[in-house]
Formats: sequence, structure tokens, C-alpha cells
Amino acid sequence: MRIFIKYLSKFSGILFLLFLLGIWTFISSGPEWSSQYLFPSPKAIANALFNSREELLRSAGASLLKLVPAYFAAAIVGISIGIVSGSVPWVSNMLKPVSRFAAPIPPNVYIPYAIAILPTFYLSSTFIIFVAAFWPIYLNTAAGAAEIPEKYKRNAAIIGIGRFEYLWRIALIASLPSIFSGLSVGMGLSFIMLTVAELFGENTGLGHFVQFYADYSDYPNMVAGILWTGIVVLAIMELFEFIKRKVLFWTKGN
Amino acid sequence: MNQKQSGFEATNLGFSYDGKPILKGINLKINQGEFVCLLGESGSGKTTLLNLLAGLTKPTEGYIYWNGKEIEKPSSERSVVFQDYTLFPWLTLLQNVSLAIKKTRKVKGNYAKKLAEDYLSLVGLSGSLHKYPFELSGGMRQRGAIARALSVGADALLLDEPFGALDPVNRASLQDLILELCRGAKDRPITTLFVTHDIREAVYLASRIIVLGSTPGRIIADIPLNFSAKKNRDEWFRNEQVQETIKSIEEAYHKDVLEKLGHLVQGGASI
Repeated sequence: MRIFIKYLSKFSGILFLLFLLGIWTFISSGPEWSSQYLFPSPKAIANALFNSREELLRSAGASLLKLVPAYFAAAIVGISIGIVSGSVPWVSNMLKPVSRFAAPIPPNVYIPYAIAILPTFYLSSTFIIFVAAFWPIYLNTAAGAAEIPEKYKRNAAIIGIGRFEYLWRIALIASLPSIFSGLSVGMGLSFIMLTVAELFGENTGLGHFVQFYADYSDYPNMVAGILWTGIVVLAIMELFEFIKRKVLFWTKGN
Repeated sequence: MNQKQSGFEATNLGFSYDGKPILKGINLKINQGEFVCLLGESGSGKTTLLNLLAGLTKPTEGYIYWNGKEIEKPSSERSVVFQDYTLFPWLTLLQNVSLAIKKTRKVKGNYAKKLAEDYLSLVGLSGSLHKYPFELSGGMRQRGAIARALSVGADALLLDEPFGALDPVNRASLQDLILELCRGAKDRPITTLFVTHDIREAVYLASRIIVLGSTPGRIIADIPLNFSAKKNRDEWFRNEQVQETIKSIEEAYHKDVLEKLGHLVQGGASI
């Protein structure tokens, strides 16, 4: 009995997934109150996933083409400004009023303005993703750089590391744990803004795929689009965690 | 100031924080090659005095000199070992020490690495060159910190309760190591200031003990020691002269505490 419970606990994640799949199958198999039309069967969804595979891959590629440049630009700008502002008090004081005001603005309210100002939809979506990712990355980096333990600063001073060298040799590296929490939050937000932008105005990408088939009431394809988006996001997050573990190996036991 | 003067000199040195005096009226001369232990209870300003000598803090009163020059900022001439492990955790032992050497001695990478290896083997870490601080015990990290402090070619070593967090066995072996490194170097004597609150540790290590009283921190005793070589630790501590020295320091402590209590009673503290 105890062994049985041990195994149950080990595989509970998979079992719960199967349980949810069972419920979906039950609903889609048509008790009278359900609508098979709105709840396609797992088989229909699997077929849609397979039949639309090329379009799904293309959509993922189109989404990444917006996400990756915008996210990396936000990371480079956010980390650079964050390190300087976390290390130099007058820069921090200068930026604080602006960031206190602007950081909490939900980035999706910029969408209409971005579409009006920027020449293409592509540029507007990348701009929105940039804004969404920038603030958490910048704020976390600045907080990390401002909280570098005094002992590292003192050591740097004793072995003669100058002010500029301090920024990249000590502040940047010592802040990496907070930088990564900023990068992680920024990543989540940029996915949200990416798909929101695509649901609105874009004619490519994962959000567009879902919106397109919803417009034609093709629910198997729409659900397939949602599942595929989940898979893509999961894969990127796993890659992110892998890189994070590699880079932050030295934080063990600190 | 006399330009030929070597070592530390403080005249009427004081430091206040938020208007509260931490150190007051410190007059002190530490000659080159002396091994001074700075004793005092917590709050007596031991660490503040060490930071002032290192140049990490600036005095609010009086003057402080190193080799006849006023101390204005930290320098590799006076390197510091702190109690909390201060090796950069993202670098290996070898990288930590060779970075310090590269920055302070302006030598090429390969030569810096070679020198770093020498210093690390001096403190008994030649087997752990490529380990990161998180892979090392507290004692090994402090050995690494000592190697780094020595590697920059410092003439003075300032240690702030460096073995405070270590277990007794590690502590004893590191005490012997620091004695060997600082007092054993006949050709180039290192001026050492060792902050501790452990009287036995101070008596074991020092060629001179300075005791600080508290609120505000000031020198209440300055005791030169001249004990023979320490071959057997336990035997050495049983030595009558050593016992007496320990006792006299304890008395100095107690007198300071009693005086403070006396002030309280005279001030009409109601109990």
C-alpha cells in the first residue's frame, strides 16, 4: 500500500493530466448539454495539429521574429541602464521619477498609439514587446546593482578596480541573479504582449493563427493553436532556465 | 611628519557616525613589522579603526598616516581580510588571486597565474586551484582570502576577525599559518593588525596587544609581548607568564566595564 502511494505521488502529475484529458473527452463526446462544435474531441484537435503543422511552424517563426529582436534589445538596454543607475546615485535619482510613473503603465495601452506612430504593424508589435520587457529587466537590474554586498565593493577598491571597470567586472556579474529574475518576468510579459498584438492587428504569428480560425469558427484548429503556443512558450522557458542555471552556477550555497 | 617613518601613525584620531562618537582621541604608532592584535568588546570600534587604517573610511577628527603619508583611500599596500568570506564567488580561487595580482602588480596573465599558484600553495591550497568558493569550506575560503591579501604585495595586512566564523581546529591551524606568514617573514616584515575579541587568540598571535574600551572607543591598554616560539600550543598556554598576561587583559576589560557601571549609578539610574 505504501509503495502504491509512493508511486502515485511520483506520477501524480501525469495522472492529473490524463484526468483532465478524460474530462475533455467526456465533454466533447457529447452529453446533451455540451456542444461538440465548441468542444472538439482530442482526436479532432490532434488531426488539426498535424494537418496545420506547416502553418503552425510558420506562425511560431513569425512570432519569434518579433519576440527575439525586441526582447534582446530590451535586455541590452535595460541591463546597461540598470547597472549604471544601480551603481551611480545621481543617475538613479534622475531616472527614478520617470520609472516610477512609466513602469506601472500596462504596455497594451500603447498599442493604438504605436500603430498610429510607427509605419508598420511589425514595428508596433516589436515596440510594445520591447516596452513590456524593458521595465522589469531595468528595475531588477538596478535593484541588484544597488544591493551589491559591501564586501565585494571593498575588495574591488583594495585590489584597485577603477570606477568604470567596476561596472562590468563586479556590478554586472554580482547583479546577475536579479538580472535573471528581471529577464524572466520580462519574458513572460513579452509573450503576453506578443500574442495580444497579434490578436489585434497582425496578420502573422501564433496570436493571429488563433484569431484567424476563431473568426472562421474552426475550433479544432483554434484549440490546436492554443496548445501549440503553450508548447512553444514552454520550450523557450525551459531553454531560459537551462541558460540561467549555467550562468548562475556560482550562487549555490551563498 | 617625518618622511622616513614607516608603519602606521594616528594622532588624535576620532570617528563619529550620525553625531555619535565611535572612536575618540586615538594616538597610536604601529611600527613596520609589528604584529598588533586589537582587542575589544563589540561596539568598541575595532572594525572602525581597521577600516580607517585601510582607507575604507575617512576620519572625522585627527589624522592617520601610513609610511608618513596621510591615508586617503584604499590601497593594495594595505590589504584586508574580512570575517565574511570575500572572494568573488563567480571566480575560482586561482582566478580570484590572479585578478588581484594582475590589477595591482600590472603583470601579464600567465605570470600572474604563476604567482597566484605560488601564493595559493603557500596557504596550502595548491590542490584546489580551480575550485569555486561555494565548493570550499569556510577555512579554505579564508586561506584563499589570505593568499589574495598577500599576493598583492602588501606591506600591511589588516585582518578583521578573520577566523571568527571557523571551528576550533581550523581556527588553530589558520592562526599558525598567519603567524608563519606574517611574523616568520624576516626579509620583508609585514605590519599586521589583527582584530579579534578572543583574548587567547590575541595573546597567542601578537607581538603587541592594544585593548579598546567602549562608548566611545579609546585605547585602555597597550601591552607589548615577547614570548618565545610556539612549539606546542597546549604547553604554551600553560606557561605562567602567558596566563598572567591573559589575566591582566581581563582585568583591564573589567575595569572599563565597572567604570561604566559606576557612571550609571552616579548618574542616578533608578532600579
